[in-house]
Amino acid sequence: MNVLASIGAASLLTALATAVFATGASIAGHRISSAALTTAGRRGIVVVAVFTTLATATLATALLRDDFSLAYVASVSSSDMLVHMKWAAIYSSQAGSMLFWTWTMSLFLATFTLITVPRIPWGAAHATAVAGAVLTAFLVALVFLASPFEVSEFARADGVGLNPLLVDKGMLVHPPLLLMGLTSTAVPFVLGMAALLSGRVDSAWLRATRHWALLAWLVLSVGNILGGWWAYTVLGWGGYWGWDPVENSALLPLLPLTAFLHSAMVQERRGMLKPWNLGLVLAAFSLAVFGTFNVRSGLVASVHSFSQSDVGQYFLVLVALTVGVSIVLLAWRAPRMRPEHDFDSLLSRETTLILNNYVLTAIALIVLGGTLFPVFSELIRGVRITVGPPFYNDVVGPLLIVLVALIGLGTVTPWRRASQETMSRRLRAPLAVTVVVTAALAVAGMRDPFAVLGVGAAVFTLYATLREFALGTRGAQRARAAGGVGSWLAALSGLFDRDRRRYGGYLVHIGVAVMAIAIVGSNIYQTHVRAIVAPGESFELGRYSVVYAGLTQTPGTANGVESETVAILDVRRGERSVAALAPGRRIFGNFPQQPLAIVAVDSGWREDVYVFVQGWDENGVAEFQAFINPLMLWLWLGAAVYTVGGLIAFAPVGATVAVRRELPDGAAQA
Amino acid sequence: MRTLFASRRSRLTAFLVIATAAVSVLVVAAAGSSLSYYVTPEEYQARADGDETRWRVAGRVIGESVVERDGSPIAFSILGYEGATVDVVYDGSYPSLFGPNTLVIVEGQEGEGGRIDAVSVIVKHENEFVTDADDTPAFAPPRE
Repeated sequence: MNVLASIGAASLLTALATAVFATGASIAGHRISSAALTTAGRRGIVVVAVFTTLATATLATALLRDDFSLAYVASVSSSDMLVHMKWAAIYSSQAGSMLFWTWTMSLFLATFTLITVPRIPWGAAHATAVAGAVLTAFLVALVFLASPFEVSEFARADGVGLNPLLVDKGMLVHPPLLLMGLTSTAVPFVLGMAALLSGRVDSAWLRATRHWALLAWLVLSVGNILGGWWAYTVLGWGGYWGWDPVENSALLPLLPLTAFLHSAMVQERRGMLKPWNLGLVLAAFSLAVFGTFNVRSGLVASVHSFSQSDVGQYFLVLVALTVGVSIVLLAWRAPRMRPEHDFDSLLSRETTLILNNYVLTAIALIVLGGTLFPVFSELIRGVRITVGPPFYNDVVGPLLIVLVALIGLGTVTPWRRASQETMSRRLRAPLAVTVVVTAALAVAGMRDPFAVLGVGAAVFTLYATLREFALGTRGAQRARAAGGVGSWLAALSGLFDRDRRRYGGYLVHIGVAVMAIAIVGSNIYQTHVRAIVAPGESFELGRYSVVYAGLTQTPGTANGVESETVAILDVRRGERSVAALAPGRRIFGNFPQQPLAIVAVDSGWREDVYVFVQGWDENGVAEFQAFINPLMLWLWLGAAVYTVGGLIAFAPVGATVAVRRELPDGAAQA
Repeated sequence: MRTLFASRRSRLTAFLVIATAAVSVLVVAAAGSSLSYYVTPEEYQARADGDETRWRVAGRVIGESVVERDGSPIAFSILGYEGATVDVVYDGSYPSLFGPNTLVIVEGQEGEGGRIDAVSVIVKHENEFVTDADDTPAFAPPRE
């Protein structure tokens, strides 16, 4: 008997039984008004998290101990893999990723049960029952369809090792954050379902949900950004987003979550959009489950997906069930969700937020439709017809430009009603700056209409948002000056203390605008050169000259790497050497037919020099694919600002207040 | 007409309907220029009839078929699971992992003699997530 396999399988089975109990106890407790039963149901959710944690720890132990008698360990790990890559192996394949998914979801739901459920007496039992049902659904898949604790049929001295593409430090952050982002959508879903089931469809559920939705949005955003960064630095094709069905699946839940964070404000302030907001949180989780199904079913041909298995069909049923139940409940409760107010004026913040939701929903439907197009075409016409990246770029591109412009427009538009005079006064400066900047860029040679419109929208939003900071800081500075403290930096940081949600959101908007400019630059103005050169020769790449010195080979040391061959490149500008690059290939012992490209990137404020080696002959004559990708550093900086803004908006306000209480006014900090 | 759009809500709805029509036009126009039939080499051979259809064909690169110019690939053949082969001509940027036996998706139109004149070649990372559905070693030889 394999002890670890037994502990792992028993933990999952116990977690499943407890999840079923939590659901049943919550329903029964609500029906017979038994506080003891509903409390037991709540505790059950926490116990599920304990046992899934034990299962995950067991799998981690098996990986660390090189227990290759477990089929999963043998298929994703090997004895020479470093410890951190063994940890990454947990979620590198089908069954392990399912375990990681269920584990993180149980942790989110347990935290939710401990922190939020006691504060929502109106729907505590309903929320616990739904949480238990969701956990049950995933644990059934884990126990019966894709367990990582199956013992191998024959003994192995060593494992296969991690697939070459996954042997990268990015594996430690991108997949877990993406998976956690997807699983965290379960909490807003549970709250939305609790509101519908209990009939409390006023704003009580919204107040409880907003923070959780913000967390899910933040983690999922970071997961997607890191996915782009990984694609750029590891996969070696010169880009960072390819509109692959699996990438689309990770992006899809983010769109309704983003829409919800904006439309929730309309409900909070004006009592409008109630069914819409519920629909958005239900859609976010449904799309997260759809992504799980899409990646595991082989339904849509993707350049990266898990092996096909029965899990896919199971998740198809789960997606259908989630969507079906959501629609039925929304229709059932719709009569209770009448708007409390109507528009005072179409020239209002409410309208811009509705337009923002419209664009985000349109993008979600287009991406979903494009992803599923091959399936529908095969059902209807018997042949798979795909839409490629040009489709998404041509359709989603203009919508993104509108979205970025709407951010700026929403920022300058007041709530409820704006007079034409107010709007013309507030729009004058941002529009003037936008016209001047885009005209200057056009004179400098930027003529592509997409580029002009994209940069124009981003500049407009940047100016409008930065002006909010300037106005806020000036006002706070004046107020503080009256009290003897007038530093603008203190005033600026005071803005975040005063209204984290608002100014954190503004920072996110600045990040989006900066990323938009970088996306325009890197996509439209990319330079690509393909060069075949012998050692000692050079090739031209834009304003650079790249000198190729030759190849060097070094033996591998760990993680299944047999050898590494790199080309020594000197990137020169005029007579000056500006960067030394070493692109190459890594050969893996167990995957000799799947060498991994070593991509070499030199990042600068203006552009990246990006090179990979296509191949070489016995004389060292090598073919290089070299790119100049403008503004890439700004893409990552914009993403960092976006993330910091999200963190500020998410940070609990109470923490700041507590710190301020400890410090007397004007006291110097040590 | 004036009474039909008297309320703010109905005016906003009318605007969103017009916006939806505009987006639909955009979708149809973009789809028309980027639709491609996703097929295996076997299906391609059965369906290709010399028109301007855009194809995406997935198959494994036959090692000895790769034609190079100045040490760089410009043409190759791909093999389907049922043995059909399709010749491909492509003089653009090859992915870094391109090579013998890799599973690729070529996109392009039918050219002379039924070959594909490709506009893109991407490598399908079939084993990015290694199968654990059975005990098949991940380094099992490709099906050729």
